[in-house]
Amino acid sequence: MAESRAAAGSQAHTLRALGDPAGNLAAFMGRHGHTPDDLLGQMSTSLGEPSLAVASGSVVVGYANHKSDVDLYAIGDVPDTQRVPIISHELGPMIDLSLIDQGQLRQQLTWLKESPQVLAVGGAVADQWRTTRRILHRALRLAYGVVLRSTPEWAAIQASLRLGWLADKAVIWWRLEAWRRLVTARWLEPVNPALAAQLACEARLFALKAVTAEAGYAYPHQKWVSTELRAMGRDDLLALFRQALQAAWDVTVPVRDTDKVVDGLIGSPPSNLVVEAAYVPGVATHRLGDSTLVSRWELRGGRLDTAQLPAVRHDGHAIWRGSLEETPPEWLRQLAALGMVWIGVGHAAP
Amino acid sequence: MQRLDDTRRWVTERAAGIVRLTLTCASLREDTEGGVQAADFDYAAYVARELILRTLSVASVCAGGELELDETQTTFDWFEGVSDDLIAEGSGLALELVGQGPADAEEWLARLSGFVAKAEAMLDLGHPVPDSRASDEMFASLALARDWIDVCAELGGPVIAIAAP
Repeated sequence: MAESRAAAGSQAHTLRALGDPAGNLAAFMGRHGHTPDDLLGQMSTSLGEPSLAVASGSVVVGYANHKSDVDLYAIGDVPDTQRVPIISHELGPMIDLSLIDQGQLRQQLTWLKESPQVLAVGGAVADQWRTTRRILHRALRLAYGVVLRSTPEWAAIQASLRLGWLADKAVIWWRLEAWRRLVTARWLEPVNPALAAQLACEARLFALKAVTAEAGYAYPHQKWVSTELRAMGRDDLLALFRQALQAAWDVTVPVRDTDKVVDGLIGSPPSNLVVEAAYVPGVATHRLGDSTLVSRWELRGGRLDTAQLPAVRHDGHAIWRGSLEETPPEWLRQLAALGMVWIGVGHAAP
Repeated sequence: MQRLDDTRRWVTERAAGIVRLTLTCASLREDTEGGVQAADFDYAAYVARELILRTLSVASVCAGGELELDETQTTFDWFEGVSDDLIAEGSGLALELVGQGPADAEEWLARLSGFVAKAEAMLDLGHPVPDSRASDEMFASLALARDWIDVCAELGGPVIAIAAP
């Protein structure tokens, strides 16, 4: 498959796709007897003319298999459908249409660009992670998209997404995801080696995704990482990819082996990274003598050998912070083993 | 007649298992089949690992495991309470795809279906879960999920936690 630049950029991390996105879209629509312009008809006239209409998804990036669909984004003064696209089969192939409120999107993109850190610590750990992921992924999908219609303002905004800063943030995001898996794998290795092995595998896969993103393959879904490595001609990294998938099921591979692999791919973590742990929703604790009963939704739980657990807080904020290398206190390791905490990795405030 | 020790947990387990099978597993099966049929075993191995973990989580939820599948939560345990035999079957299937892929792709896909069916049988519904990918079964699968989620809500179960995997 031919590799080409999706857009010209002034910085190192120019977005790359397989083939030319506009050509990929036209070829895909052509196979179904349509043109990209027919996609505009999928946007209900009752919504008015969108300020920006973009076709994106794995088809456009050139990763598609025969079951792939086209993601259509209509940005304007519309109700935001958020995560739930409207599905249409009218043109033959499946079309997922997402409506995005332009005021909200403008704010989100400004926030993303101007935030000094990709993921800052403090606040509700899991919620902050989810919000950042949603906005980053949305921005990347739009960056890769073929513009079907736009106002001058939105044409400029869409073009600015391809100038390198967004791909730089994507690289950092995937690195954080690799370290988040690695930290949890280290914590759980003594108590749940099977789960630790899966997390170690994921740490390697996310580190590989950071490498492909650094080469410009920043499309936001890690399942295409082998396709990207092949496009880069990196047989050595494809071998690492397969080793990762094998190690997922091998509890005899120590997590420290993954430390070395991840270090080799993305380097050592910067010193300002912080690990945070927050209770997951539905957790309640009950003191029982020298121990504490921990339950979730009152349907599943365990008994911890300590009477000193941090109080449950319902705002999702951290109950513990530490460094990546730190051994967690035993109560925290037990909570992690019971699946009662959400573990995050982010940057400390400067 | 079937005696149940804890009706709220029993209904919540089944509702959670049905949602996992009809939503997450269905699309991952489609991805896996697409990859295997295109002989892209690297892609297929990636998505099959995710499918196999989610299938094991259906067996886990029926064995006292976690009810809320949050795949962004790194501490979520796919294996809690699952028998060693079923884990070995899943890992065997996953490992066969890595590298050259299975000698007979169709036979591998048939064994994958058998593996998913074993986890599905643990829900003890007395009938297969309709295929949410098939146009003639899509509404039946949605109706099944809705019915169990409704009863879960009536019993005061954590509907929010299980309805959006």
